[in-house]
Amino acid sequence: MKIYIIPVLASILFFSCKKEKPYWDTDIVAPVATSSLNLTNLFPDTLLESNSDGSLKIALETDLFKLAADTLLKLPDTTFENVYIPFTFPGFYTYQPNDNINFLPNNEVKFDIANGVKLKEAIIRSGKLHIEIYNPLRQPTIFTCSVLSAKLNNVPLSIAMQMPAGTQASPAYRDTFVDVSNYRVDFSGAIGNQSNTVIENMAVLISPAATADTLKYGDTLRTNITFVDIVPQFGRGYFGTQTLNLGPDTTVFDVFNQISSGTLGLDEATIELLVSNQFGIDLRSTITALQSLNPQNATVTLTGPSIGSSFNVGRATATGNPASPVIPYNKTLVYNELNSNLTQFIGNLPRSISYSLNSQLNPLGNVSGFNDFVYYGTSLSARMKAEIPLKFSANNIVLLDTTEFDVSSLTEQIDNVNEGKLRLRATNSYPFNLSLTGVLLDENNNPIETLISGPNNVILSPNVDGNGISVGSRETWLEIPFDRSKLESMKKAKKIAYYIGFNTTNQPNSVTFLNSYKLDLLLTADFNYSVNK
Amino acid sequence: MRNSFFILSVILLLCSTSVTKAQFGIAFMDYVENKRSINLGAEYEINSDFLSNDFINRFYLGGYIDKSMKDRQMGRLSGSNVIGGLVNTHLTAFFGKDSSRYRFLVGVNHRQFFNASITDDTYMLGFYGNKQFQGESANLGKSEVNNYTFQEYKMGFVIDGIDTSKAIMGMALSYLQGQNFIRLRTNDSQMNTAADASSISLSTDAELSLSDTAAKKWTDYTGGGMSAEFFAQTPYTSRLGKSKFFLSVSNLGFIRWSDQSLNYKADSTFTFSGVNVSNVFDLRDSTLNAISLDSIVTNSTSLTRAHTSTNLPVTFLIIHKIRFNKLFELTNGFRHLFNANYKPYLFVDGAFYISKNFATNVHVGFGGYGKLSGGIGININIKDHFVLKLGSNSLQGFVAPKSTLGQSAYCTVSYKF
Repeated sequence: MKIYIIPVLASILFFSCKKEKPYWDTDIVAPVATSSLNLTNLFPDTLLESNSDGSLKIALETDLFKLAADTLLKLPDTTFENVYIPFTFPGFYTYQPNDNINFLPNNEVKFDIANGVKLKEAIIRSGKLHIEIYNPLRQPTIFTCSVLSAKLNNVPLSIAMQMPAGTQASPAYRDTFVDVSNYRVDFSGAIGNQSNTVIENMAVLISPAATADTLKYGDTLRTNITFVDIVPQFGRGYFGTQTLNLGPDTTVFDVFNQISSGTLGLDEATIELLVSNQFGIDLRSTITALQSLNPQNATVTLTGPSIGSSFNVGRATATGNPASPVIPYNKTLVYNELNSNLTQFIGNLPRSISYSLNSQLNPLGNVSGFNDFVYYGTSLSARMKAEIPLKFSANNIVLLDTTEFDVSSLTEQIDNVNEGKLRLRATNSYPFNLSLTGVLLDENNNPIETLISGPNNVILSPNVDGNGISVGSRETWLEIPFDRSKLESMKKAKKIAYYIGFNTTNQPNSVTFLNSYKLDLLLTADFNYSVNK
Repeated sequence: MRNSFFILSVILLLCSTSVTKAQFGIAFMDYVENKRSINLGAEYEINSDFLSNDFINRFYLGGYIDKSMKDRQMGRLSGSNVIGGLVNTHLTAFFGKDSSRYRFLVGVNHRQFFNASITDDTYMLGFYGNKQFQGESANLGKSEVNNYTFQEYKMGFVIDGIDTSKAIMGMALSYLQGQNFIRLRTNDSQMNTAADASSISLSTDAELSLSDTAAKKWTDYTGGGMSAEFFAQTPYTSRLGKSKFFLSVSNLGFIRWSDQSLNYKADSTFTFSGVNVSNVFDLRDSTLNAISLDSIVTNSTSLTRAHTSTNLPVTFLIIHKIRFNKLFELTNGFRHLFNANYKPYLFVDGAFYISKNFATNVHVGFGGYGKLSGGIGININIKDHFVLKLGSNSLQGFVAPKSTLGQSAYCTVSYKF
């Protein structure tokens, strides 16, 4: 019987036996990634230009400021009230249907335009007239409101409105909006010697459907004409001697965004400030300050010609062509290493440029005889054009940024890695050394582990010749050892913060950057891996 | 299942003092010995000409394969290295009237055949990694891995009679239900690792076929086929004693795997040079994901789903027995498996009939998937109707697993009626 028990025992053993996987260790070497580091990692590639000799330069054009025409000429919403009181003493007048009650003279009314602008003429780009009529007569009437100064195709603006009967206590009320786009408005008054002045008129016709009635003491005929949201297409006159203040303000300088600190020793640089006046007005301008601001809030104020002292900017010329109505007056101010501290200004590695400028209109008074002009869409602007040859010395220029680092898709493979090292081969022909530091961060940007740091973290530069040009390239191997602890940190990491320090060779002498330079990176892994674990 | 037989065999062998005759997965051998009977049994064998038993055990049962274990296999590498084996569990019934010469059989088997032939470099690359091949190429060509698991539903007959001096013969046909298979074949293939590890080039001319990986349960259909089995035994009397020739051909068939079988083909050179990172300061998920092994496999192979057929390893067995006297019988034989990286296996088996109900045998063989093997077995009759047969043809695997090649075990319980 004993023999029968054996298979039963064996079965129990079998079913209670939990099988595990076999695993073993292997030594693996494998490429991980290749990449190239180039100057576009330091400077925006759209700004890099190559000279004919292969050297590189940064060429940047950016707007500093722009003052639009509507800053100079604004027609405020203005209401003109036209009132006719036939009897200022007790009395009456019997009217019949179709009678005209038109005792009103033309009425000159004046716009109150700011900053001493004396407008003689304007073309309206867009805007409306809001016409309101109050009829106290007990018969229906037809009111006609006219703005004789505003003409479209040489026809004055005139609007007739039928009004129902009203009473003195409760006059009938009607209103309407009239589009006045493209109207040419003469602001010179009835005989042309005024400014900011228009002529308007009101007439009343007793409706043919009315019955005879009386106009009596207490009746007040009234209209309101309101200019609403008027935008001039063109304005002519005298714009006074107001002073336009621009800034202080800042504009972005998109050249050194990648660089977080350090100093750049430039040999040469040029900045051209192009001031363009599209107004038909003489200007006298002063750049009161032009400063470079870096992320550490270090400031360098540009010193040079026309900074802090005034310069004249002539008026634009009208062409008569609506498509391109003016020829601007351009004034160019040039700053370079010879006439200014521009190399320090740029070497400050600015992220933004701070500016402050004022311009006085008509410094010599009304020399144009009310013929100053502005067109809609024109402006007073300044544009900066910078040209920075890439010949410099860099002292611990630091690239600092954080990027995503999520290896969750590789977790299974990482779990089987026991230890090893990443090997970085850098083949560098740039005339600078790079020191690499990488820190793993969690999702809240808290440091988890340093991936690579000094002292064995420097990619060496090749030698340079007497002109600061690299001789060949240089190969550097960096090793980043890792163990289970570091691998666990990698799995937890969500981001990686990197710091790359650049130092040019032969400091403080400058080195030249050619477009043939490159830094090729090969990252390989040499690790012990448990297969099937 | 193989696990169960391994443990069962070890226990039984440790408990027993004697053993029995060799089994070779041939159903008709049960008939030859037990005539009308119901036979329930299992056997497994695994052997290699380069992997020791402790390595195989660790690989199969799991656990850490350390460097010393891997190193010990290195000395046996011979250029082309073989490992293979089989598992067979069966339930077979032979029945028929006394008055008839015909006996019939029905049975069901669960079978697994596996074998592999690999180069030295394949072993070294697989178990040591590619670091040792820096600046060199690892030869992965002319390698092969086969593994078939299937169920066999068998019907057949035997022509026999009361007169034991006459020859007997039989045949059986089986429907085969495929369970799973793997077939990997490489022609000229090599993997080169650059000296600076800047690239890994895999030049492959290889095909890998797998049965439907979505089929998880044994009842899931992955393929079907047919096989045939023949045997004949003729007795004769020589001056040394009563003798017999036994000849059988089995597993003569094929399985056609379903149209959901996966066929990977790689006939190209794939070079992995790392992921090209356009901006090292902007490591996105997509960049890191590109490093994953899955993406490399996807990029370097083509995959189709289609029917594929496999021929079974045809098994050819010849046995000659001489019964010198009541106590001793000598058996020698030859066995070969075609299409299975198998080398002809020659063996000698001596059986000692110690009593009416108890016999033991000693087995020595050479060839097959391994080299020299030896084993013992027992055969116990219980109350005239039951026969228990168990043993091993490669006992060395249990005795000295560290230094020997090959292991096997078998066990059959028969009820004679």
